[in-house]
Amino acid sequence: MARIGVFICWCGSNIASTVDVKAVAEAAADFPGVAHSVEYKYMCSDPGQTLIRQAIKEKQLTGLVVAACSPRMHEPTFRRAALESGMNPYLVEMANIREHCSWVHEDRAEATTKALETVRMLVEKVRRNTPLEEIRVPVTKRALVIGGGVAGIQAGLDIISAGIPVTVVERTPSIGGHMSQLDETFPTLDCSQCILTPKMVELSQSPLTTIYTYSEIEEVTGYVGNFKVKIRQKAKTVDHVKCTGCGICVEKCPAKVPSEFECGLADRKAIYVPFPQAIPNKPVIDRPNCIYFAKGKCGVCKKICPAEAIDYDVEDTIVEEEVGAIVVATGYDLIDRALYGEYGYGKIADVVDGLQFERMLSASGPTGGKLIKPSTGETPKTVVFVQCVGSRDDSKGIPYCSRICCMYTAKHAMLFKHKVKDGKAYIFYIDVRAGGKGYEEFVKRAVDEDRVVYLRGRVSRIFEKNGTVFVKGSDTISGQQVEIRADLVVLATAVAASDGARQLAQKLRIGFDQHGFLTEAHPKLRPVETNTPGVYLAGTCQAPKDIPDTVSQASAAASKVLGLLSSDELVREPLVAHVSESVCISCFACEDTCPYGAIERVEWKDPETGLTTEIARVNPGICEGCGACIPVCRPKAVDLRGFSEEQIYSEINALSDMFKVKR
Amino acid sequence: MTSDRENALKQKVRELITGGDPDLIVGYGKTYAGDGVRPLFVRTASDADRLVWNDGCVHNLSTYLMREPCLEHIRKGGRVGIVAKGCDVRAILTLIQEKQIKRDSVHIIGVTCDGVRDTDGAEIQVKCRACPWQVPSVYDDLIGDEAEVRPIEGDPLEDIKTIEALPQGERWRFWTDALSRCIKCYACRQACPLCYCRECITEKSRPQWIEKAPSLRGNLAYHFIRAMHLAGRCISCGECSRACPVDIPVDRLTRYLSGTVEEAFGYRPGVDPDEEPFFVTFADDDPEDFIR
Repeated sequence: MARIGVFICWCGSNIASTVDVKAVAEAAADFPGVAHSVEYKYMCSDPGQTLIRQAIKEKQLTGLVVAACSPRMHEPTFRRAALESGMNPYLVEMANIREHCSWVHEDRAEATTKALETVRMLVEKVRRNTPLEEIRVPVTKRALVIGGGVAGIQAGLDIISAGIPVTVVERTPSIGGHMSQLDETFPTLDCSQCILTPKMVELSQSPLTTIYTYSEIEEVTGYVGNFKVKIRQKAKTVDHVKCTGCGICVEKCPAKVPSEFECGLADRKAIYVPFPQAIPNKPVIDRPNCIYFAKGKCGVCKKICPAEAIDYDVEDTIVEEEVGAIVVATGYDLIDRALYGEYGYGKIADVVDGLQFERMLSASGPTGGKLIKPSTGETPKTVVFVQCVGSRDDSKGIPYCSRICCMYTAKHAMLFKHKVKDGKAYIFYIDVRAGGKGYEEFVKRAVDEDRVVYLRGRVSRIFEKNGTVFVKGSDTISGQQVEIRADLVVLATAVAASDGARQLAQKLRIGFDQHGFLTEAHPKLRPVETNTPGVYLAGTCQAPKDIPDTVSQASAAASKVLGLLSSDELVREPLVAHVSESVCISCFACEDTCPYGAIERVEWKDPETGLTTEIARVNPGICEGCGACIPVCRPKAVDLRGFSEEQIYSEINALSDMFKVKR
Repeated sequence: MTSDRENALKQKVRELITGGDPDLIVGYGKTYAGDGVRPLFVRTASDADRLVWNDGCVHNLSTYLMREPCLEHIRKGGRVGIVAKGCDVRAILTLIQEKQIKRDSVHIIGVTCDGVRDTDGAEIQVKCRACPWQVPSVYDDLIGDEAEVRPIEGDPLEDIKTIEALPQGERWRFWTDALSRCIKCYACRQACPLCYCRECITEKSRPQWIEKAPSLRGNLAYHFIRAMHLAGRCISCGECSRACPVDIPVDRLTRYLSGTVEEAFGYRPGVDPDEEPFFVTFADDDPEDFIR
């Protein structure tokens, strides 16, 4: 005989101001199976929970309905309270009469009726709840970090600091990421290389670290605590065990291509190390641009290599790693330059983007830190900086703010003024967003001390006339159109999701938004988790962010990884699907539909016929309880624990007058 | 022409059964009384002589693949031969797509079909006049000539469009009138080659989604759920309606939904045995304009 306890929460005035909680509590007392029904101001508070704990014991309750907020908010709280009183936590259900009721309705009578109906449904459901036991799965104590930029490096360092081994996979030939391209960093103007390269060294030299550069994720299977990852190591063509990094091959290679690291401002060879501080500091051959691979002739590097490290016949290799947790730190790209034809980007030599300007500022860059007009090599006297190129521009399909441009543009203008004392710097802006610690002061310094001129308005066109670049825009504060002769124009182009992020997200079974940025489990309360347990986000793969935020998030992701890997086994919610063996028709539609790969095929002997068939089975360690398998199963062989068909059916029945009459 | 094909069919089946692979072949035989046609299970060469082929071979024999004795035969690793018209072959291919049988488990003896008439009808069925599958798309042996194809006449969806054109109230009345006649004999389900679940949802009692008594509400639930379960799977053989003892045109529901799926997703079941069933595939550009 069911003895259900109903607990109605006021949520202060959040619920009670719209829902007549007393009336709901009184009416619920008469529902079939309800043995106890009360209301209280704050059910989640200690006295509220005590009310529940005492009632469970005194009234010998067999199930609870807590009518309060969203189960996302306090279901764990009330389950814990039940457990403390010896009740199986899965006999607790929450009726959401706040988000679903008081917050969205104004009419008190109607909201009260809806609250009552919701409670009625949940009482019917909980009458059919069964005690469930948590699922325990073993844990592989190793983490995978995808991406070797500052986010991946920081996450890796924090993980190894706790003694957990880490595997880092980096797509390019070196770790370091975009931060290694930067000159000085806001707001302290410390040298990017000086603060990054020690971290690169520390990570790569730890015995706990395995780094795969020039590698990509091929396949991810398994589940939280037990992922199996296939990593494609692209053929480097240079045996890094034999190679001593002497660099003679690079020197002698005759094939030149624009350097990605120098943003096209300088060339590199087909056999190359992306930058002098690269880790590993050994070259790879860029096969599509190598003369030997294109024409079958050349072979200079092979002939000259004193270590005989060049092998043209090596192929991509697949390595397999088992890891317990994954941090995704795949970073960003700048938007496609073709998106801004009206700004001459890619067409006018003296129009560059922010990263190119960084390379020009850098002492190790193609100009040795000297600022030049790329067209003539002269020192630019007037530099125009344009913010929000792409960002916050619905017409270009990028409604979001890139977050870093206001600050780095101020920095660029400042550094330009430091290098060219008599130079003039103009910045076109829409708003200046300087919300970080010390950021507003930094921008103010650019204006007050370095005399950077801020013009509020959009640039309509950038064009070249007789070898001179003109920037045409509006200054909305003076209300005038302005046209500036510029020696150099720097565009703060929008930050975009990294190329290939979507495909990787699909392999990891995590979400991404319309722009390709990866989706966190909750924007405020679970900002580094994804909806796939055991997969975490760090850095700009999630959304544009600056270095301090990236590093913070990387450490946060690492702490999540360490939390996960700190125990020997994982405890998972038992709200998973299961297959009724004799009903399964082996169509495996569930297998094709399951986004988590939780369906396995097992042999099953039909007790009636004695024949063996292959049927579907749910691996409870992988199943997330999403329920996607349920509607594709025609005979209803699959059911979901905690949300069984019978429970859902009884909820619907409780609501439907038509069915009520019949029953 | 028909007798030519009948003779060729007998000869081919005799040949196959004598060879012993397959050792069980489903075809058409004569009814004990009258000139009717019934399914015939061929196990010996003399059984093969009792095969018939004429325009009364209306049954979709593929329904037997998922029933005894064929099912056990296949499960034990045996092969089953089956005489199949173009429409029947689509059902076989759908069974393959849905992983119920392997292509190797069936030996398809395709027969070029000029159209079949209803058991009582004098003329060939409407679906046959508009049939684009007169020559089966996939077969191991073909009886008949590929060149013997008639031009396609009429619209196979004509009967559905007539109902669709009615105002909503009349449409509802049409179906409530028709479905209130249903006696829940489940002949439609038994005749359907794609209703192969071991335990049909109609048999489920916890919870009981479909009332078992033949009342209008339970009848609606049964036929609507069956139609949903055949959406994008029904290959329009019309066997469900033919089997109905109270003349409910149930195939119009399932054919209509398959038409809807084809319109929205460009998917036709039972065409390519290697194609994934549409329900379990996902493409980035799948239309979603019907989600409101």
